[in-house]
Amino acid sequence: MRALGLFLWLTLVPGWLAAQGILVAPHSIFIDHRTRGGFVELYNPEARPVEVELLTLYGYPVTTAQGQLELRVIETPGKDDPSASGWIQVLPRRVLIPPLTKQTIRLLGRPPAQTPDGEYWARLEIRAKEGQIPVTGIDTTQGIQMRLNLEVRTIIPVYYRKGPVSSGLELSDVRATLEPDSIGVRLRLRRSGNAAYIGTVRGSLRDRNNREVQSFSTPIAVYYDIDPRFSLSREGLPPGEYTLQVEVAPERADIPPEQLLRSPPVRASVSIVVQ
Amino acid sequence: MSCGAVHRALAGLLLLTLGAGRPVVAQAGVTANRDLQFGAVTRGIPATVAPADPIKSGQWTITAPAGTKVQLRITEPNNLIGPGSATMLYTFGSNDAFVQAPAGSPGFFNPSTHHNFTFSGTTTAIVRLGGRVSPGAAQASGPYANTVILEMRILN
Repeated sequence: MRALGLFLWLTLVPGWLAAQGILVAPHSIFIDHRTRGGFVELYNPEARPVEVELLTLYGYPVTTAQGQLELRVIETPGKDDPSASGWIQVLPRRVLIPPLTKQTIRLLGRPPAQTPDGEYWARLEIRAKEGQIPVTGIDTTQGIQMRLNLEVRTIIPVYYRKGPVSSGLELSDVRATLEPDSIGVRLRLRRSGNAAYIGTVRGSLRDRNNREVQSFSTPIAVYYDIDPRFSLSREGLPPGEYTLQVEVAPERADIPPEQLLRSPPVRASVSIVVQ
Repeated sequence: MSCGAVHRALAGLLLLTLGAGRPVVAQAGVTANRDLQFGAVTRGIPATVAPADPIKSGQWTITAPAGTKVQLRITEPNNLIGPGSATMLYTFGSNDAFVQAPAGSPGFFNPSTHHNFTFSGTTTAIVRLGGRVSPGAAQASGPYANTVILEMRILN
């Protein structure tokens, strides 16, 4: 159904006809030290060639004081940072992709000797541009011509795993805040092990009869401790006592199961009174 | 719908389903659909395009697996660079960009700050951009250009 949905979107969105850019698959790259190699495929869906440049950088998601996720990019990783950005080789780094063509980009890990076992992180930045695009704002009578060069960038995570890796999670401090049209949910996630935790957060709001009245399900990646915020709608929720059950499990629909590190689900709950 | 559109759509679908003999692979990406169009400009008179303008606004399509949370960052120039040292002021307001999922409502944001978006029950969305150019009364003739960058950072 997803493929069908994308097909319809591709065919029905008029703007797609004039598009420039690139599609990237997969959207998360896992490299095992035994093979040291990974790949990503780039596809140019358009009728014009696209220039692509690939870079690696180091960063990971963190939460702001308001619980929003953002990518913290560290330009000069320290000794204690598990950064692979300096030793993952991308081949080729620049490529011109012809129309309707797929290009495979290979990633090769070259960690320094004596690199301890563990998981190392990088981000792959894919920059695509199609030369200069004229902006139709030409005043022919006065000779002023304007144009903007459009460039697009996609940044995806890269995980390099050397030796045994594990990951677990501690869930605590679940808080709920009643807002005019929603229920804000915050929770602390503390990662254990030597690898990022990749999983899904699920929340279930239940009434006194244990009937689910609202829910959410969100993929999440925990690199370091985070305190994210989620939201449930209050629409149609009558006053009363409710229980919010939260579960985090290493399950993802968008990542192959063999790449997910097993650990037991963690759960917590909190009572909520809706006035 | 043109034959070309069908061709491109089918090719994209094939990438999803047949890519290198592997099972369906989730994909992500940013595609620029339409450039920002200010129309005819006159010296001394600013020209403005609203992000909701269905023809003149700039538009991108962003793609990611359902549930993916991303950070969107737009890097816009302060001006367009023209002949010699000439520049033309390019500005934008705090609601000059929005992101919208199919059948969703637009979430406006300031293009100068990053904005989080979740692909809730969808794998695509559009991002639109407006802005304003202010040609001076004695604006030099010639071509003016600069670069706008849309960056999509996957957070989960």
